[in-house]
Amino acid sequence: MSVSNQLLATASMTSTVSPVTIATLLGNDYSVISASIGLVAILLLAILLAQKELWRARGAPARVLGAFDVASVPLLMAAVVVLGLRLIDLLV
Amino acid sequence: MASGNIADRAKLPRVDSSSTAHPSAFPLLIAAICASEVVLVFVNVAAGVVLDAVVLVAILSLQAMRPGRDGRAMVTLALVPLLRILSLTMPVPGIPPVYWAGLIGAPLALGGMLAARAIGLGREELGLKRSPWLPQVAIAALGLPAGLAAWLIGRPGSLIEDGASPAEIVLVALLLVVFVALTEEFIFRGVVQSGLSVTYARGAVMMGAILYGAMYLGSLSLGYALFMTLIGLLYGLLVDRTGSIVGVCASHAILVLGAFLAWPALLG
Repeated sequence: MSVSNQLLATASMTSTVSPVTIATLLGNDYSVISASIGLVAILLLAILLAQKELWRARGAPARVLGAFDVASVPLLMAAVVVLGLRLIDLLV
Repeated sequence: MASGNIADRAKLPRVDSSSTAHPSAFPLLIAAICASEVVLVFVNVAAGVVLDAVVLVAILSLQAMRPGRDGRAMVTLALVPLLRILSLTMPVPGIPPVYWAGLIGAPLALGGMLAARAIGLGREELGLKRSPWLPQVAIAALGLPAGLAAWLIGRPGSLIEDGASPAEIVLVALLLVVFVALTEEFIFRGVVQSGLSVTYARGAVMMGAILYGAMYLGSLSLGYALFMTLIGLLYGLLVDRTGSIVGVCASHAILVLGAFLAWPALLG
């Protein structure tokens, strides 16, 4: 791919990939990112799943419970992808 | 052109303000989301992510405590802090940054679909419907000057280096169109604006544009963030007016292709 990281840092000005996100992710060791931002994401996922179960126990309707999936499913997807790629990276 | 906002078009029952428990919750949550982004960009990234997580939990807790439709509409706001959290957790070492938009955009779009289902938004309310083609073509054409203006204000470099193969150029263009233009329009104009319209007849477009612009503070260019806020406002008004996001999706696609590929190559 003829797109260098440095070039992308100056070129990406979108809502998801911006100079701030690129500087954060490329400017720090991945273990630091995992131990800070990654940990927050995992804790958030755990809280959302626990919240959903608490509301289920209180007899909340399906629509209320489904709302928790809006954040928990993408976060779960992110966790599976990140862990999967890390596992592949360690094994290969 | 069809007129009227999304709640009117879809015959959704708009919440009567007198029966709404805390109508000020929406502006407060939007202010909290913007404050999180300011902290993330200008103070500390990790602190900003923690604030985003707190706001996300607050939004989903509040929606669960409210039985009315405004509670469900609140769910759509959760997509904004989710966007930022995903943008800082999905990219992993070994995946070239050019693919990051796809890594982030795919789970975000999934979240958008789940939010639409949770609130009961169908294709029509999301703006995914047939609409007279001429106004949509005119809206799409706005992407050309908007892309030039975005490039002149933000001055992003080209995403393509000299000597890139046609296949690489097509791949980058596809990533920009699908995971930047289409995903952003689906999330912000399709889901978030529709959700806000259920509770706020007049303020939904403005609130959606403010949220959209706040997500561009990470560009570290205030002018660019303001410009994108205005773009969000314009696109929001056009979607509210026409009832379709087709034109703004095409316009946004032309905007990003111009700002990140064509204009830097031609004029840079």
